[in-house]
Amino acid sequence: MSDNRIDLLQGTLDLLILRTLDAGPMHGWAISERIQQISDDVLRVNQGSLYPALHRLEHQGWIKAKWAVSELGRRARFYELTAAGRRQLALEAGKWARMTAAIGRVLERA
Amino acid sequence: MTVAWGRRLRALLFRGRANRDLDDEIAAHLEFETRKYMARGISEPEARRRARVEFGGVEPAKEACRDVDHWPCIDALLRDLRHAGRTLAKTPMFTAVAITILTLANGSNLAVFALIDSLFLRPLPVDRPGELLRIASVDKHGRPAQLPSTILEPLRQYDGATGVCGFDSSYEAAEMNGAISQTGTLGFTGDCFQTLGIKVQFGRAITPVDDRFGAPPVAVITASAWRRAFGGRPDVLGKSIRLPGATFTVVGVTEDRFDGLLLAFPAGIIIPLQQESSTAPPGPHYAWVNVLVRRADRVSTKQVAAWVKAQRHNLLEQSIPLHAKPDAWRRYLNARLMVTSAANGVDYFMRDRFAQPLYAVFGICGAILAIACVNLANLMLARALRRRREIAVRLSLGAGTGQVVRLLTTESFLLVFTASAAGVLLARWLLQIVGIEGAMIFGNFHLSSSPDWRVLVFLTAALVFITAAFAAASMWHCRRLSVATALRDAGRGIAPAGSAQRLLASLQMGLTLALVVAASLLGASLRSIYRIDLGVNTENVWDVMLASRPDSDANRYATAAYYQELLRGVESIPGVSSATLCDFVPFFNGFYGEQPVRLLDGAAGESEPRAGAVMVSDSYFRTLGLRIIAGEDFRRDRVDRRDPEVILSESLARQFGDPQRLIGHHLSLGNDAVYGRLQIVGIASNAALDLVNPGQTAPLVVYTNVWDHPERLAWYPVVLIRMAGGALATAAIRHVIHQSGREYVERINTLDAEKDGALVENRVAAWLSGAFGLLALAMAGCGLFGLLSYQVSSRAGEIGIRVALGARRAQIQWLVIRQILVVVAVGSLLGLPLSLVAGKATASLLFGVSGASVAAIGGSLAVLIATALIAAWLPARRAAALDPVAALRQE
Repeated sequence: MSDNRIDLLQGTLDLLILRTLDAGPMHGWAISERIQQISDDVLRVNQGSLYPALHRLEHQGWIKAKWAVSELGRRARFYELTAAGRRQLALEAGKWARMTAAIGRVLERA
Repeated sequence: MTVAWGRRLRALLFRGRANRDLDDEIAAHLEFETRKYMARGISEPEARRRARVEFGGVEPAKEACRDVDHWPCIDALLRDLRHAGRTLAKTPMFTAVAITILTLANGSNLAVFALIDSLFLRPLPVDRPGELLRIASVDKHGRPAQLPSTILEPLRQYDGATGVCGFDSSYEAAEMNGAISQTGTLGFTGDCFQTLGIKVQFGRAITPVDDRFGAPPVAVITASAWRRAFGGRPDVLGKSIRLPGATFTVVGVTEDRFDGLLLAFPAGIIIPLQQESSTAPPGPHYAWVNVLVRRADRVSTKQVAAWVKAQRHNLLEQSIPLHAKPDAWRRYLNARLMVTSAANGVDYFMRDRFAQPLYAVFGICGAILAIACVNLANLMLARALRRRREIAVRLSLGAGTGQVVRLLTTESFLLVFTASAAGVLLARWLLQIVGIEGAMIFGNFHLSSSPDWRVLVFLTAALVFITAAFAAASMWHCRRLSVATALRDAGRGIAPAGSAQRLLASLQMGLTLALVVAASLLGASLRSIYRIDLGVNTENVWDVMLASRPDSDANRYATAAYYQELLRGVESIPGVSSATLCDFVPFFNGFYGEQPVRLLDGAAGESEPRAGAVMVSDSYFRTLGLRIIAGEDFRRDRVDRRDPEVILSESLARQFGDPQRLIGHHLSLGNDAVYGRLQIVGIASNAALDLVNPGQTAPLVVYTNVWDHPERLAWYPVVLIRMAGGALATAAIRHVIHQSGREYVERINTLDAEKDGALVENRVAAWLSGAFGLLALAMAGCGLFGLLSYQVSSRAGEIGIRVALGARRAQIQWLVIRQILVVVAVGSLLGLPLSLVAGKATASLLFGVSGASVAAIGGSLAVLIATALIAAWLPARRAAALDPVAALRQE
């Protein structure tokens, strides 16, 4: 709908998912909606890669999943941060902040 | 990481559910998305379409998720397996034949190996069994024999041993927890537990304090006896168990793994040696024991043997059995000593009787397996040829050689794996039969049923090896497969069977020939053993082995009156034509040692032969169908107590001259005072009473009279019963024995069955090799048939041209038969030396036939050629009946 959408950078999807789930358990569709919403529709999650990413994070033990009934009355798979996931989020968020700051500095001064 | 493993494993095991979950998860997403659009007022079909467009490729996403969830390599493997399964299902005949043959070959191999393992390879269930050595005297057959326990003391001085102990064994009626059962019992010297490193799981072990005369009688029971008799209850400590002559208090239960020290004969009860024999005179005594030493780390078995050899005289001198008479001393001092490994347990006769037959059978099984492999490899080759087109298409569509190799390997693996699984079941079943048969023949015989790592390694090695062999055979033809030629040639079949196939077929012929030769040798040998006239009529004769009841200690020695009453009871059972009492079971246990026989009364002279001595009552000769050729039988109702009587075998009597003249003369038997002056009352016809040495049909025997020495019936009196016809009423026998009061029936059998039992190794070898020989022949026939059928169909074009050009039927048939002749000729050349090897290997089991019997080899060759011709007949006919027009149209 608008041309200011950007595809996600490689590797940032995991971070966004973790951060989104920090707010509470959510199913896949809700995660992608929320990311779009909060980024004012700028960030657009490729839904085809969302689910493999969720499964990968689950394998790593950072999130866990269970089946529950959604607000719309349909059964859906809800994901939730684990303690390890919370630690990972802090780590990744810190890394991201340092990187963007560094890139910003380079763009400003170089 | 474990999370991932668990999930992946779950995904693998519950593949269907995992897939459904994934479908549902993505369906939920699409539904939410659709509803979102519908909420904006878009129609449902359009909303649905947009949701799909928004999502992108659903299947690639699912695939990506599955890649995360599963092990991709295992997925591929399962795919391969499914594909292989489908391919095999397309040729059900081939698959069924291959699996059946492999199952038989594999199962029998596994069973025989497991048997060898549990009999001869398994280490004793004690600490560091490799350090245990047995020191023994050498009996006349060169086997290790027991030594008096008095030798333990001088042995303890040896600093090359960290422990010395002795034990003996018996198999007696034990009353445990109210139930009487025959139980293997070990008598331990006090240091056995420590030396051998046997632990108790609770209670305590037997210590030197217990192994003293006058100490309170205590027993340790093995874990299996504890579970069997006491249901594994922990309150077993302090309970009493009764053995003939004494009552013991249970003080401990051994660890689970310990089940005795004898090969294949488990123990249930362990008691101190000094508490063992209630028949010994009161006071400290010695016993004949199996001596075990644990060598120190620093010395080798050789060094121990050298030490024993150097110290032999000292050791024997310091251990002369108490109470022994002078000439028994001298014999003892001349004893040779030997040192053997006791790592696998102490063996009384198993290795002697069964090691060779078992290894021979193992060799045969191995040959069968090799034949099966060769045969199936040949079929695989034919199959691979037929699949050249398929493989070529695969290659041309871009499959790598690796993928084709994987495909063929997977097929082989699937075949071999299925056959191995079925083989394991077959082996279990075979071993069960062996266990049951063994228990029937040997009583306490027990095979350890749990396979140990050796069996698993064997199984795995066989699996890997056969799979590799098959895969290699399948690949042989694909190795230089050029896509173009394969696609062109397929179905037209210019290529005849390669030299590899013919060589394999010849090899199979050779192995089969050797096997058939071995089978016919063993079969002929068994027949000739059964044809021997033993001088005994075993038909309709039953033997009943009695054993003392553990509660009959009050009256240890029975009287003649007691046994005569018992015999009268037996004789009154309907159908019994005669009954007798003796101290051995013919063919089951041989003579108890041979003793020198000396004629007294001046008739003494030149010869002093050694003869086997057995004790029998009146009617013995009648019951077994022996004739009294001079003098008379023993009499039950003799009142005049003259000298104790004996009857001699004719062979023995002839050693002293004319049998008739011996009647009334006296002789002495051995050095026992009781047998110092025995009167000869009769001479009996020759009879072989055991089959240890089947050629010996006229053994020298002295029959002493039971009624003269009833107290000597000691442990196992045996009642022999001749029936007028029909089976023995075992319930009636048990009743009579029970009524008499002192004994119970331990075992009832027919003499014919005892004879079969005595020949078990020959019978097993003959039957097995016969069965395997037939199997090998069948496989060879199938193999040749398959090979030729394949050739005929692949050369249809060529044959068609020949026929069109005027070849006659006979010429076409000759074309096929010629192939067979070459294979058989080469096979025989390979097989003849193999047959001689087979004859040599079985030589020790052969009786009455030579290992290089021309008849056996010639006959086997004839059978083999006949099989080959039968196998060739059908394909040859088919080739001759080929319609040239139809065949050429295929071109």
